[in-house]
Amino acid sequence: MAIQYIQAKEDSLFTYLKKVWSYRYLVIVLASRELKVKYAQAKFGILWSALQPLAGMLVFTLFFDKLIQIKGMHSPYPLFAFSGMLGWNYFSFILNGASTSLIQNQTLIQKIYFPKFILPLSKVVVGLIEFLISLAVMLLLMFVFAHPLSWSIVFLPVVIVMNILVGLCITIWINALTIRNRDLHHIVPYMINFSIWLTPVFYPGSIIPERYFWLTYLNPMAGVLDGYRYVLLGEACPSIQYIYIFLFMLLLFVAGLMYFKKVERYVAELI
Amino acid sequence: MTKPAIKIEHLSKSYELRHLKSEGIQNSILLAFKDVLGYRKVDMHHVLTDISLEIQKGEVLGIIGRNGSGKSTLLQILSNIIPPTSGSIAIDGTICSILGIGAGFHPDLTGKENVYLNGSLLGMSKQKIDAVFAEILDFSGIGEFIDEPVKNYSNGMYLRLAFSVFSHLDADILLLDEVLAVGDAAFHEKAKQKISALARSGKTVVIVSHNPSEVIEFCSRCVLIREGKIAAQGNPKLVFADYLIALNKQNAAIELSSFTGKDEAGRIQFDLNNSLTPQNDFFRLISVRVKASNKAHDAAIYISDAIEIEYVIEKKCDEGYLQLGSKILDLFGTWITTDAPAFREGEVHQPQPSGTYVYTSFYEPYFFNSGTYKHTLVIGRDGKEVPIPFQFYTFEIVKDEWIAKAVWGGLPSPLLKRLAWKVEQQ
Repeated sequence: MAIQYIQAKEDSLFTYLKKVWSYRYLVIVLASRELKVKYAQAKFGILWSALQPLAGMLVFTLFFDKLIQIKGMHSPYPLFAFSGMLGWNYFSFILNGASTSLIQNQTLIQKIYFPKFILPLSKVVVGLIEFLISLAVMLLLMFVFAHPLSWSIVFLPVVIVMNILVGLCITIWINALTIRNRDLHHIVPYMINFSIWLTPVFYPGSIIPERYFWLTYLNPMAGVLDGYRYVLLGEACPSIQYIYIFLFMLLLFVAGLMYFKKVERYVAELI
Repeated sequence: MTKPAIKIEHLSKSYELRHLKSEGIQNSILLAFKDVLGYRKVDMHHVLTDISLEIQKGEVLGIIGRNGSGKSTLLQILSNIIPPTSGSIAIDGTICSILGIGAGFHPDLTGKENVYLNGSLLGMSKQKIDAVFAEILDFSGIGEFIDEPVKNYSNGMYLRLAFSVFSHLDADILLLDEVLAVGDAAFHEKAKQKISALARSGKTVVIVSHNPSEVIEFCSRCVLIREGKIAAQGNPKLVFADYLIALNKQNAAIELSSFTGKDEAGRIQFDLNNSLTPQNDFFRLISVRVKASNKAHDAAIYISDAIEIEYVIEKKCDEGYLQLGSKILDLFGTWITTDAPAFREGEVHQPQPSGTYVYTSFYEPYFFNSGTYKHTLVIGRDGKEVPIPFQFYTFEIVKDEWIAKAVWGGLPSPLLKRLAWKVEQQ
C-alpha cells in the first residue's frame, strides 16, 4: 500500500481521475439509491419515466402535426418528436439533477471523503437507466408505426456518449460555479426551458431559414438530436459542421473538470 | 523502526472571514466593487497553527479540546474532507473516517440497502461487504428488522447499525468523531471492546472527544489541542487533568511532557532545541528526576519511602542570584505545597558564577498519599520570579501493603504527613 499524502496543493488531473475510478462502485450505489428512493413507493415504478416523453409526443403531435402541420422529415411525426424528446430529456435530466447534486448531498460531503465528480456521474447513470426505458418505448413505437430499423443503429452508443458529454460539460461548469455563487443554480431551469425552443426537438432543422442555419451548428444538442434521428429513424446524417462544436465541448469538458477539481476541495467549507 | 501510520508535519489551516453583514445598499455595492477589483481586506481566522504529530501503528490516540479549539478541523483534514492551508500529512495504509455516525444513511432504504450504501461510501467494495454482512448483522443485533426501511428504526437501532458497519470496515486507520456514545449501556460496552480489539489487531484508531471516560478508557495516548496548537500530549489521564485545569484557569499556559526521553539514571532530559524546554538567557533546565532515596531510580516509590526531587540547571551568566523553588500539585491541579529556600527570611543573596547546579529537595517518608502527583519548578532572579512556561512533571506514589490493609488505607487525602503527638491522661 503506497503512502498517501494530504497536502495544500491539489491533485493532478491524472491522480484525480484515478481516485474517481477507485470510487466507481459508489457511482452505481448512489445511482441505485436514487432509483430505489424515487420509485420505491410508486406502483408502476420506473415505467413512470417513460411517461414524460410519451406525453410530450402526444402534445407535440397535436400542435405541430395536426394543427400547424410542420413538414420536412421523412419519418412519421410522432416518432420524430419522440426521438427528439429522448435525447433532450436525458440532457435536461443531467443538467437539472446534477447541478443541484452538490447542494443536495451536503451532509454527505461534510462527513465523508469521495471525489465529488462521483455525484454528477451517478446522475448520468440514473438518467441512462431512464433513457434506456424510453428507448425501449421508442423501439416499440417504431414497431407500431411499422418504421424500418436502419443499419445506422450501430452508431447509437456514439450518439449516447455525445449526449452525455454535452450534458456533463455544462453541468460540471454549473456545479463548480454554484459552489461560490448560488444565483446560477436558479438560472438552470430557465436555461432548459428556453433552449428547447432553440433546439430542433419538435421541429426539423430544415424549417430554419438558410441565412440563420449556421447558428444551429453552434448548438451541440442540435447535433446530438440529428444523430438520434439518423441512427434510429434513418433521417439524414448529421452535418460534418458539428465537429467544431463537439471538439470545443470536449475541450470545455476537460477545462471544466480541472476547475471542478480545484473548487471541490473547498466545497465542504463553502456549502 | 516501523513507519508511523500518520505523520503530520507543520499543518496549518486558516479560513477567510467573509463579513457578510452589510449596512445599506450603497455599502453592499461598494463591497461588490471591492470584491471584483480584489481590494477587499480579507481577515484570516487561524484554526490550526503548525501542528506536527506522529501517530504510530496500533495506537489509539485521543484528541481532546474545547469547542472551537480546532480538534474537529484536524480530523476533517485527516479525513480529506477539507484541504490544509499549508503543511502535509503522510498516511500509510487505508483510512476510513466517521464524522457523525450514519452520515450516508437514507431513511427510505432498508437496513440492508443502507449497509451496502454506507459501506461503499466508506470505500468498501460489494464483495467485501458481502463477506462481512452476516457479521455486521450479528454485531448490530438488528435481526429481522434489517429488511425494514431505516425510517422505522429507533434512534438506538440506527446508531447500532451504523457503528457495526463502521467497525467492520477493513481499513488500517479509523477516525472517529464523538461517535462512541452509541446505543444502550450493553452496546456501548460492546463498542468499546470492539475498538480495543481493533487496536490490538494492529489498526490505528484516532478518536476526537470531550467525553473523559472515552479518552481515558480507550486511548493509549492523548493530545490536547488548545487554540489550534498542541498544548499537551502523553498519558490520557494526565492530559485530561490538564484539560480540566485549563477549563477553570484559562490564563495558565500549561505545557506537559516536553522531554525527549529519560537517561539511564532516570533523569528526564530537556533538549536544548525544544521550544518547550524552560530556558532563557539566564538559565536552562537540563533535567529533572524524582526517586526514592536509597533505592534504584526505577524502583517504585512507596508512601513509606523518603523521596528526593532533583533539578539540574545551567546558570548561563555570572551575574544575578538564581533562586529555585519547587511546587507540588495533585492530579487535578490542586496546589498542595511549595518551598523555595532562597526566599526564606534572612537568606543572603550572592551572585553565583555560571555553571551547572544540582538542586535536590527531600521529602520525608509518609508525606504523600498514593496516586499521581505533579511537580513543577519556580525560578527567581534576585528576588523576582522569572516567567517560564508552566510545566508539570509527574510521579507516582504506591501504597505500602500494610497501608492498603489498614482502616485508613483508602482515604483520599493528598498528604499523609506524620505528626508529633502527645497523649496525656487527665
